[in-house]
Amino acid sequence: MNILSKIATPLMLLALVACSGDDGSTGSQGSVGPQGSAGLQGEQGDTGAQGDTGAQGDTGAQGEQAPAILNEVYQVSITNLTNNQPLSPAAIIAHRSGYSIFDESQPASVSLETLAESGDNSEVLLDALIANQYLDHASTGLILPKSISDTMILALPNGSYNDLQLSVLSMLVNTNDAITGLNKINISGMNVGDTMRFTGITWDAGTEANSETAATIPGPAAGGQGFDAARETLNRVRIHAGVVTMDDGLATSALNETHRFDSPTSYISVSRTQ
Amino acid sequence: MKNLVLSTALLGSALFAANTQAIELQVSISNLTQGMSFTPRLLVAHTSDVDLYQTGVAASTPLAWLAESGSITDASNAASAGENFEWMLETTENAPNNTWQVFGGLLAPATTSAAYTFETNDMPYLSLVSMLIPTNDAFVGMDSIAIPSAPGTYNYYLNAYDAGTELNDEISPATSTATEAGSGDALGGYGVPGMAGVGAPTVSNIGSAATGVAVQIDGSNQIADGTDGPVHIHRNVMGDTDATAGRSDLDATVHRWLNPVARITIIVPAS
Repeated sequence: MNILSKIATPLMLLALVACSGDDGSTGSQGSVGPQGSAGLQGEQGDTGAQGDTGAQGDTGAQGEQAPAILNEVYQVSITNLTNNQPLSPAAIIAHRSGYSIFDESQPASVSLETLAESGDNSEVLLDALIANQYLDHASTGLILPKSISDTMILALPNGSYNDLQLSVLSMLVNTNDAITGLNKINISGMNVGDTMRFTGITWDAGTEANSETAATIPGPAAGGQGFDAARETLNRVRIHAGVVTMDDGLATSALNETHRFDSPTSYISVSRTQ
Repeated sequence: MKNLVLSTALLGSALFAANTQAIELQVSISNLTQGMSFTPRLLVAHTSDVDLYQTGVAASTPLAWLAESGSITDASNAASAGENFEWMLETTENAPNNTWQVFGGLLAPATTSAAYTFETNDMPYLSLVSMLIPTNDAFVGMDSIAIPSAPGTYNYYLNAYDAGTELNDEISPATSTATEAGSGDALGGYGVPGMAGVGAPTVSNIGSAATGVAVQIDGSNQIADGTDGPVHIHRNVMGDTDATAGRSDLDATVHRWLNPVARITIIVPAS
């Protein structure tokens, strides 16, 4: 509902402008066109009526300018701060408040379990796509230790949301189910040119016991199994306690001292460019 | 009823400041560790004249009682009377500068507490302490955050500190027959070596026969009661992977943690 009302308001204002001046009418109508497609992203069927207004925009050559005015564009990059824990392709989701991939101290969804145990972010992204609060998403490639991901682009419908939030999630692949990133961090209020920087703590998805055995670590340290539907006894998301490793007395661990980590394990930079 | 409470608080605060309003916060705490439990939480709203702890400064006796045994009030531990936080916060000097409450019950690993209603009495800062069990003297702390005034939900991640008043021997007093060097006292809570809280219902995987981590049991089955202060970020427990031997009675795969160990969520209601 909020998306609809936010979008409907500028449409009405533009329509008023279009009606009020003879010479300027063509140009103003032009910018209404793209606005109609923005309405489609709002997921409300009622926006169809506004879309009709947008059709008038076809006559205006100046309609091309509209995206620069009506879209907010953000660039996001993720740095892997660990020594020897590749980060799985990170799910990056822009959304409004009321949505979260997970909640600390609560059991993880199967989608999160899939990401945390195998590094596959597709189910987390699918969940986000159907959420009412969803705005846009991106997915990085594998982020090697001590390296920076490609810069990803998020383009949001205009709205200047005061509850714009960012969630970023990636698996430390040489673990059983460790994840890092950001959980519904508020990034609203950024102006064009602003950059916000965050460090990502490390959560334990709580879905798989931290056995550290070769059979259960999917990353290059072991090449074991990823997703396993079985849940560990303490089946709740929490902060990860770190890996013990074979070099610190856990004889059955496939990991060695190079795989240890401390928080933070990731660094996230968010810049607004439009 | 709500109006009555509000107006009473307003009258009280009017004595100190004419322009402020009472704020009734909703506070909840999440234990984000996988193997540590939190003892009852002391929440204090205060002025800059009151400080529960300060990193780089030796722990107060009340903090030692909290960090070594979880004791806050006379009711929770009569032996702590005159030396605990209840005593400290109620001295003639400190009482006008704070308001405090203890939120009871153990908070188990990876769980969130109920929402506590907490009246700040217009005090500008908020602090919290709670012991991590089973440890020698680890505590989770929040030191003097400015209480937000705008309505909304505020989250803060909290770290674990070492009170520094007891060496981290990681020995379970439930099974160890060692005693404190000199006094011959049994191991356990305040003022003696050994961990506290090993028998709590939310604590598990405690081993036996440990020889000691930061300090060891000597040849005559005694262990020294040393200190490693001032207050600092806890270096985490060591643990080991042998439940019936080794240096620690903690389990390296269960009891270790990385910061942050807790999250506090504060809701400032719309006025």
